[in-house]
Amino acid sequence: MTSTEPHRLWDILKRYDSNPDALIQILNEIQKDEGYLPHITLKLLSSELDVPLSKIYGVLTFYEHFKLVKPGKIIITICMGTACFVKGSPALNTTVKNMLGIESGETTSDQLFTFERVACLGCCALAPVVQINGEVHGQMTPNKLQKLLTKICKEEEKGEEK
Amino acid sequence: MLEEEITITVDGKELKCLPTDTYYEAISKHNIEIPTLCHNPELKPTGACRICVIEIENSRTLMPACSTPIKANSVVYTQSERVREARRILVELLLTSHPLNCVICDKAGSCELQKLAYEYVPEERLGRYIGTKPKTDLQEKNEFFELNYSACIRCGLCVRVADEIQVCGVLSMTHRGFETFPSPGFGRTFEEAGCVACGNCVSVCPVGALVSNSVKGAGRAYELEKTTTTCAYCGVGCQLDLFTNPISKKIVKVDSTEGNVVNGLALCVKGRYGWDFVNHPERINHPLMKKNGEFVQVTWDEAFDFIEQKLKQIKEEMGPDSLAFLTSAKCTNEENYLMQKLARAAIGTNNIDHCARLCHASTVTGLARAFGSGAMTNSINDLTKNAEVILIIGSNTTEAHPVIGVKIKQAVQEGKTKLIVADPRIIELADYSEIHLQQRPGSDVALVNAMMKVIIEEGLFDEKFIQERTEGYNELKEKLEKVSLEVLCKIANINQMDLRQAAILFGKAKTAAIVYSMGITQHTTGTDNVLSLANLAMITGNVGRPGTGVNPLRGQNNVQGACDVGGLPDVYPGYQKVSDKENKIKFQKAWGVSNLSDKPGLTVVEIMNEVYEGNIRGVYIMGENPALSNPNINHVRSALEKLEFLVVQDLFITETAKYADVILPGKSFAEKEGTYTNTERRIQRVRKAIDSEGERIADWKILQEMLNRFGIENRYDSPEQIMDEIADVTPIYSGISFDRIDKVGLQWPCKGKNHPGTKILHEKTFSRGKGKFHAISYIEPAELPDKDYPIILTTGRILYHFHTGEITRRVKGIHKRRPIERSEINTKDAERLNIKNGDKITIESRRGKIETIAKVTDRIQEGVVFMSFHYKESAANLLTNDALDPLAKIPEFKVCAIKVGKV
Ligand code: SF4
Ligand code: SF4
Ligand code: SF4
Ligand code: FES
Ligand code: FES
Repeated sequence: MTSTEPHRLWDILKRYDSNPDALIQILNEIQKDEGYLPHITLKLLSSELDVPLSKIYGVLTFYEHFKLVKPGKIIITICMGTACFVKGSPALNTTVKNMLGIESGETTSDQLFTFERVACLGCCALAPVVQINGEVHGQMTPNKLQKLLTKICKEEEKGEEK
Repeated sequence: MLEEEITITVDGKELKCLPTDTYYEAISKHNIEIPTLCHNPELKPTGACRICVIEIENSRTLMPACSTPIKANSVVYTQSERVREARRILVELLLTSHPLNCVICDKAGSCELQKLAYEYVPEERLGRYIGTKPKTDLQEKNEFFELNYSACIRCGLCVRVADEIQVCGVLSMTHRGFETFPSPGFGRTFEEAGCVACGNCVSVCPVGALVSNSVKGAGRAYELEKTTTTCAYCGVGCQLDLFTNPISKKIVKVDSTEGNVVNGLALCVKGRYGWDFVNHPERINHPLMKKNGEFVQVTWDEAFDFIEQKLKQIKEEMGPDSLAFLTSAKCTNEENYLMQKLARAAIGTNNIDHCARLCHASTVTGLARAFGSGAMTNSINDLTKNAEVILIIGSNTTEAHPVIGVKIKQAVQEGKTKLIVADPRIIELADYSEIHLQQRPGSDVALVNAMMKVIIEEGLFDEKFIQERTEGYNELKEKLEKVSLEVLCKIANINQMDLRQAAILFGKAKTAAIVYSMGITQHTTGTDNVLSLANLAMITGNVGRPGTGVNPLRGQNNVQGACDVGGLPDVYPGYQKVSDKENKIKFQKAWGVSNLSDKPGLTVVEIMNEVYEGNIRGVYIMGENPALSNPNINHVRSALEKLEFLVVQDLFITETAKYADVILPGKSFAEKEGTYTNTERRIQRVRKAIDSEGERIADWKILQEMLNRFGIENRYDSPEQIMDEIADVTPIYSGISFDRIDKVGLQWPCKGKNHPGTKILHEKTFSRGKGKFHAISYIEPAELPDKDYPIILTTGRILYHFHTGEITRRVKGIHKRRPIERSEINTKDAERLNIKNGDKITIESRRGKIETIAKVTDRIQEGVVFMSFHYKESAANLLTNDALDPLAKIPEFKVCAIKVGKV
């Protein structure tokens, strides 16, 4: 599926009475439906709410959780909070960048990995922390991370062969 | 002390202020400076940058002066230690992410950040701000300006101007923190997001982030000279400042004039960026004469001698009416006045006309009949500030009169005004309308009659107004009773419910204004259309008050003025009939001649017909281009080929000038003095900003020389003296002088040196006494689609270009953005003809055939094609019909039958 089916968007809009003031809630619902905010849906939304696309973009880039591209199968989240930062998360950052060739906020072209950064995952004791599809991996080092990612890649390849 | 004034104490001084002011407004009125970065008097304050903070006694925190309303008896400090420290911190914060490359920045000298750093940041602290700055990969660089993101200080002014002034929705502040930037989002360019390159956002940027391409390396702000003048494109008459570099003698940039009453902050792309034609290499620099089929450079004397001899010879051989003159809606009032004086006093003919014939002749005849005065009844600002409802009919305002378009958008956005748009195309304003009536081209009378029928049925007419101020209502009412609503709606091809809704909306409004333009006038029923609109306004009592009226938007910068000062075949300056004996006597006396003709002269199209017939042997044209602007130009061109003697006075060798025997190089608006009269009848100054190259002579001087050679011994030292003469002989201009309009233009009628000018016409009585209703029946356009030519062609303009494109197509940026004609055709028609967007197509009418590119769109209705007339290689006027309105003699540019084919 590439975008919210129009009728699902209509449902959402109906619930909010097509009120431009509810833009954030509406965006949240679309994202809940789709996992991200497809461009065509936003275009439709822009004309339905009579809100220019630039304004929608302004709102959704202000909040970190909105996604404009379909996230990959595996989401790697590196914590950049203070504790993790001092314990070496910048190096982890570089590891991901080097291995997958993507920056934070991007998805690999095979749609496998999405790379994100957050400020404090709330488990500073385990710093530095990397989260992979929700699972927390503490006391991470570049080396460990590299192994972890290689393992995931291999598993995925196998999965595909089957 | 005025009763409502209150007192505040600022830096120890007591100041009297208006209670409605903010601290910033109140204090800066007393010339105490408070720095600002995000403040602009035309925008709602947001208090975003906080550089304007002041200390108010008993207030815990520092307050932004720009957004805090004043309180009586408060005590404030604008320069206390606390204030200065807060400002210093703010400025330093901005410096952390701003490149310190002032030495090469084009904004240096007029940059607000530079000014603030100079005042607030101690030298020893500057070092820490040199070095790497946050980067972004956002970029915008287009034909007119660029956004240099690294210099942006995130003040948000550009976004607010885009939102509140231009209402373009292109920009938004995106992302957060150091990554916050103004951007269209989604990786789009400005143009992809709908930017129309007005540059209004560029003009407010306090730093060197948004900059026009033209200023690059062209001189520092303090090296430039500023000349306030009037835009030379459209009839809005925007006030603008030309900034010129005295060393390179070139225009560097254009900005709107601060605090002007016409356009405020706004300009459109043509006014702001459309001036590099002034220094274009193809400008004519010397008089030229055709010898053995080729133009050769001659001296002014040789050219003048030749013209004098030929005009005299033709006059002697065939009489004065064998000569004709086309004056110019682009030239100044003073030049137009001299041109008609040349025709009338020097030659003795009333054969003088200009392209107003082609745009608003029907307005002049129609409104003169209904109201007694053929001009816009109200003013731009009262219209956009006070109208509850505006009916926009036959005007693509946002493209043809962009700044008025923008003001209408603002009024709608603020919720003050509701729009009814009646237009065969889905124009931009249709997106802002309550109701869009997409009538069939040429069916306007039926549409307006239908509206009036509903208004009468619903009892929404203004009985008192009709009784007291008008005549002829009963005939109109009877006529309307005889036709059914169903039939009228069918003719106009509109839904009855929509029509009814529109009529009720219009009828119920306390103030309803009508705005129209060439979609109404350029028909064989042009006068009928205008009369119908006058009917609609009178029936609802919408004349003579703010926010009402019948408001034709005039096309060219000075088409109003060219008409006012007598550039028409039947009237002397001030619409005084030539056929009236007393007027003849008056003007003979004023001009010291005895040969004035009382026979009304010929109109533009008629002149070309008589040229073709051989009855007119000599034509003198100033700044007009009939070989492209007239309908059915094949006919015009064969006439010009036959013509014995043609003089053309212009900036470029236009399509028309190619047929000339003599070409005289005139001066552009930036090189001469004078006045233009805008669409709201406001007479405004045009001022010289640069010296011209070559041997160009201002048109008024050329005409003076010609007058002298015909024994009219006027010696004017300057256009100012010509205006004094105009004021003497033209009652509606009698109060005008250069002195009085130096700062703010006056609106005619201005009858006397103390008269304040007239914002709204027909306030107490109509110019003709009572307003006259005319019972009008629908008449079909002269040429309708049939089996052979099944589609209707309608013509008009686009935002970027002007008229025949002689000027705008020589503007680099504009040419780059809109290099070719793209004619609009409906998706269904295109499908049927197997035409895809971007295909080369042919369009053929009974009069000619052209090639163009198809723009397939649903914004035009089925069975209709839209073309602009700006492009000579796809000249729409090879196709148009030269059938005329019987009264106004305006041709039917808006409807003709065509067939479309694929190349
Ligand atoms: S140039 Fe004009 S249209 Fe373009 S973004 Fe700026 S304000 Fe909007
Ligand atoms: S581009 Fe200029 S006006 Fe716009 S936010 Fe940046 S500094 Fe302010
Ligand atoms: S709206 Fe008309 S007068 Fe104003 S800048 Fe544009 S072209 Fe010039
Ligand atoms: S800083 Fe990383 S989990 Fe808190
Ligand atoms: S100027 Fe007052 S907050 Fe920016």
